[in-house]
This record gives sequence, C-alpha cells and structure tokens, in this order.
Amino acid sequence: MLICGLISLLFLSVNSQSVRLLSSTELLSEVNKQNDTLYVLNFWATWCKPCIEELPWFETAGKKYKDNTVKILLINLDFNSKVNNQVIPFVRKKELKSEILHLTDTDPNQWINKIDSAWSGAIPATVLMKNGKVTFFKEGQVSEKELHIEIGKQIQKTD
Amino acid sequence: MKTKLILLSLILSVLTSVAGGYKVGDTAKDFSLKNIDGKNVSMADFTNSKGFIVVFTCNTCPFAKAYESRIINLDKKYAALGYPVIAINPNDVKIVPEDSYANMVELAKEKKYPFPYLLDESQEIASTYGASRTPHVFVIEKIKGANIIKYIGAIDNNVDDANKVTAKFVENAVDALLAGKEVQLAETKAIGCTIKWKAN
Repeated sequence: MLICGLISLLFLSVNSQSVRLLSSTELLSEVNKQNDTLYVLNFWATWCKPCIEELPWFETAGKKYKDNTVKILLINLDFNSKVNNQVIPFVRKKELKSEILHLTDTDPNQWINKIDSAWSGAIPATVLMKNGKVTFFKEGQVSEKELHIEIGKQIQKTD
Repeated sequence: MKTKLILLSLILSVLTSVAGGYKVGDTAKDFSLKNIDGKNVSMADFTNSKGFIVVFTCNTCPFAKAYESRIINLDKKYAALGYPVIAINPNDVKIVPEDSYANMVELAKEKKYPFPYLLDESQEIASTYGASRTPHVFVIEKIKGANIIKYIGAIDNNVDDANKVTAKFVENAVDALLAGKEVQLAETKAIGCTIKWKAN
C-alpha cells in the first residue's frame, strides 16, 4: 500500500507540470536575452476569466511553433499565498504544457513599466519580445488570429 | 468664432478621451451616478470637502476584495480631513452578473461602507477618467472650484499582505495635499482585474 502510494507520488511528480517561481529581475533578464528567440509572455491569474479563456490559444501556439525559436511563457500573477493551493492544482487540472512561471514580487509598480510602459497593469496582457525589443503588446484579451499573425511576423524574419 | 472654438474643444476632448483618459493635472469631470440608497451622488454635493479619493472598484475582483478594508480605512481616516472616498463600480453586469446593483447594495450593507458606492452604468465616467482596472484610484483636489487630478494609481505597494506594505501611495498623496505640498509619486501602476467594458 505504502509502496503503491510512493510509486504513484513519484509518477505524479515526474509527469505533472510545475510552476517555476522567479522575481521580476530574473524574468526581465531572461526575456531580454539577445538570442533571436521570440518570447511570448502572457500574464494571467486563476481568478481572471478572460485570461483562462485565452490560455488554450497559447497552448496551441506552443505546439504549432515548437520547431521555431519561440518560447511561450505563461506568467502567473496570483497572490504568492495561492501558488500551492490554487495555481499548481489549476495547472495540473488543465494539463498545461507551456512553461508556467509565477512572479514572486509584491510591488508591481516596480516592474510593470519595465515590461511595457503602455501597460496599466490590468490582466490579461500579452507581450512579444525578441532581442530585448517589444514587437507586440496587448492589454486585455488577445484574439487567437492576432496572436498567430504577430508570432508569424517575427519568425519569418529568422527561421 | 465662438462656435468654432467650442467645436475645437469638443474635438480635443474627444481626442484626449480616446488617448487614454486623464493625466495628473487634468480637470476631472463631475458625475451624477446612482448610489446604493437609490439617490444620485455628484462631487458637487460635497460642498465642504477639500477633494476626493475616487476609487473605481467592484464586488468581485480579488484585488478589489483584498483592498476593501483598506478602502474603508481610507474613508475613515480622510473623510473628516476633507478627502472622502467615492467608490464607483463600472463593470458591465452582462459580463459579470455578480457586479449587479443589487449585489452592490448587499455588499455595502454587509461591510458597512461608510462611503457612497456608485454605479457607472453607461461606463462613461470610467472611460472619461481612463480607469482600466479595479481597484484604480484617482485623488482629486478642489482648486478654485475645479476638481484637479493629483494622483492616479494603486492604493499601496502590497495587495497580498497589508502588513508588508512599505509605501502607502494614496495616503502619501493625500497627506501631501493636506500639508499644501506637491504629491511626490503622482502615478503608480498595479496588477488588477480589467474593467469589463460593454461589447460595442
């Protein structure tokens, strides 16, 4: 019984998606790399209905462009106290395949402008970045078509 | 000439509203919106106030909920000093049914809101002010009868834990105005729920 439990626990931890915690400074240095990778940042939270509605579009994009230098980052902005009991179970239930990050900073006024000065802080928000430059920014829900067009514009240039 | 000027200022005001609402230093438009007691409230009703803490908020957003008691405390502290809170719910009830007027009335009663809680049904005020999320605060000072915007942004710098706040943005702004000083940090940003705009 115990062994069975241990095995299933091991299985679970190997197969289930995890949430990587990081600070805004770490995030900014990661997405500002000069490596020709197109970073697709989507800021979301479990309490945000329009965010949850559009998550599948980012999942599909991740599959579609898996052979391109495109990196989809779903950046969670739930409260830090909700990561274990809300965010991780949500990510597992939805079986999200994209990389999930959680920003641990508590003072958004310190970093929102560093992502894009046009962003008021309302979510969802989507940012496309390549070699340290923002190529697309959208506050509010993005359309799936718009997302593919904007990704397409950037990958044609290098791939 | 006069009509041309009026037309020009009309065009300009339309243009500025398209360009994303008020900036610090702009004159805020007064409103007449339905309060939870059924009566309309305007800034002009507050003849003795020195200004206002206008908060766009709602019943449902987790950030609005997390800040609710802090908004109540702002009114408790600053209404007597001349800066009452006026809360405005701009959300489209078709998109968020729980943000209905009936629920506003219930919530205000339950939490004993000491301030007016108004419904911006047409969303005109939220749109004119350039509010984008809940909660979104506009601190307004009355200067020679005009309502001048002195601060736009978040309540403080830690929504998650009131005990870990290190900068009380709104309090600092109102304290500065009460002391006859300029607001040091006149604009801040915060994560929040988008205002749910009506479909066009």
